Amino acid sequence: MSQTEILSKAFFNTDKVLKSNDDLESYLVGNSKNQTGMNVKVFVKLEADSIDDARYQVSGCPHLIGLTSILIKKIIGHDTDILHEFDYLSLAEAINLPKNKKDRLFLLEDAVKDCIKHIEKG
Amino acid sequence: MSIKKIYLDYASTTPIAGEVKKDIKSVLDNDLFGNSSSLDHDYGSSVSEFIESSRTDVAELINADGDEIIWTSGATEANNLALIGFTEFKMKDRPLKIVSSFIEHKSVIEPLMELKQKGHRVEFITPNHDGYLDPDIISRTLDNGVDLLSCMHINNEVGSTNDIALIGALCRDKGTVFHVDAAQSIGKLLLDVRKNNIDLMSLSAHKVYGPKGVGALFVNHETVGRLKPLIFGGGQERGMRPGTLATHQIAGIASAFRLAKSSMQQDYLHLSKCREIFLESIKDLEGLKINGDSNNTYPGIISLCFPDLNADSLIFAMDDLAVSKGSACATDSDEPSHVLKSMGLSQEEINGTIRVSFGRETSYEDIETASSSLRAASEHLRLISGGTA
Repeated sequence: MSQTEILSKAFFNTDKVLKSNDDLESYLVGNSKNQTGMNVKVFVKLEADSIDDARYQVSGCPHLIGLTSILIKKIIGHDTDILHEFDYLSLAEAINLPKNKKDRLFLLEDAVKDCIKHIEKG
Repeated sequence: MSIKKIYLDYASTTPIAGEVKKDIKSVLDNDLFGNSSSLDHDYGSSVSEFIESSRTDVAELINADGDEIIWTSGATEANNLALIGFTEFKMKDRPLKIVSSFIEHKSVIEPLMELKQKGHRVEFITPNHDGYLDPDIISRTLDNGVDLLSCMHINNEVGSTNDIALIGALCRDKGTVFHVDAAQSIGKLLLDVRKNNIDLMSLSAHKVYGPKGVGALFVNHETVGRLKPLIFGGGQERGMRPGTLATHQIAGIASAFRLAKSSMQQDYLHLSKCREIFLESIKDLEGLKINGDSNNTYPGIISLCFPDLNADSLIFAMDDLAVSKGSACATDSDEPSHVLKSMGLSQEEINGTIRVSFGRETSYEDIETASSSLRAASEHLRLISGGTA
C-alpha cells in the first residue's frame, strides 16, 4: 500500500473514534491543543498494565487525523510502556508526513504524554 | 493521466476549450512559425498580421483599440508591468502615492511592497466584511491626492465584486490613474474600459478556457500611453515588453476571448443556476456560513465556511471532488488567507473555509454529487472530532 493510501485508509477509518455511546468513564484521557485550534484526545482503557482498548477524537488536518488513527491501532494490546517508547518518526514515514507538518507529531505526542500523566496518577 | 474527480476549481484555472485547442493547433500546423518582428519576408509579415488580428479580438472584448493591448506571459506579469512600469515611467522627482487593498492578489500586493521599499507611498485599504471595497472610503482616500489606484474586479477567493464603474468614475474625477486586475473577471462579466474609465487592466487567458502562459495588459493610450519595461532587449510591444511573441499562445488567448464574448451571457446564467442549486442543497448543513455578500458576488465562486471544521480535512474527505482552500498561489504556504483575514474572519473561520468554483462544464449532476460529498465530509469530521454526526 502506498503512503497516500495508508493515510487515506487511516483518515476514513472511524472504528476507534470514541463515540457518544461509548463508555467514557472507563477510559483515561490525554489531551493536547495547538494555537490554530487543532486538538487531539487519546483515550486508553487499561487492564492491569496492558492497554485493553484505545480510542481517539481529533479536530485538525488529514495528517493529524491519520497519524492519530494509526497510533491508536498500534498501541492496543501492548503494555503501557509502549506509550513511553513509541516511535513517532515511523508514523511520519508511514504516511510521508510533509516536513512543514511535523508539528502534528508533537501535538499527538503531547496528547500521549498527557495520557501517561493520568495513568501514573492512577 | 486520468483523474476521475469532479472539477470544481474553475477559479484556479479552466480547461482549454475545444475551439481554442483547435485554433492553437491550426497555428502550429499551418507553418505560422515566422518571427512577427521579421517583416522583410512573408513568414514574418503573415505572423505579424495574425498577431495584430488577435490583438484586435482581445481589444474588442473590452472596447479598447488594438494598439492598447500589450501581450504578457499572464496576469501576474501584467500586474507587475502595470504597477512597476507605470510608477517608474511616471516618477520624475517625487515618490508616487499608490493605493490598493488587502484583498488583492499577491501579484499586486508584492510589486507594491517592492515599490514601497523604493520609497513610494503605498497604502492598502481594508475591504468591508463582505470582501469588496467601499466606494465612500475610496472617495475619501482619493481626496488626499493619489497617483495610482489598483483594485481587482472579482476576488479570486470569495467572488466578491468591486463596483468598477463607480471606482473608475471617482478616479477619473480626481485625476487618479486606475488599474484593474481583471484576471478573474475577463470574459465572465462585461467590462468596457471606456465606460468604466479604466487606464490599465490586467488580463489572463487560462481563467477563461484559454492556455496558460499568456495574458495581456490594456494600456489606455489617451491617459497612460507608456510604461517602463520590466525586461530589456528588444523593441517588441512598442518597447514596453520585449521578446519574440508566442504566436500559438496568442492564438489561444484571442480564441478564448472570442468564445467568451459569444457565450458570456449563457455562461453567467448557467453559473447562477449552479450556484442556486448548490446553495439550496447545502443550506441545512450544520455550522455552514457563506463568506461574502450573495448580492454582490460573481456566481461562479462560493466561499464556504465551517468554523468548527478543518478545511484541509474537508477537502481530503471529499475525495471525489477537486476543490481548494482558496488561492492556488498560496497553497504551498501554511499562512492563513490574507483575503479572509482582511475581511475580518476569525482564525477558526479562516481555517474552516473552502472555495468551490463552477464553470462552463459543470453539470447539475456534478452539483448534486458535490453537495452529497460535502455533507458526508462534514459529518465524517464531526464524528471524528467527537461532535454529532
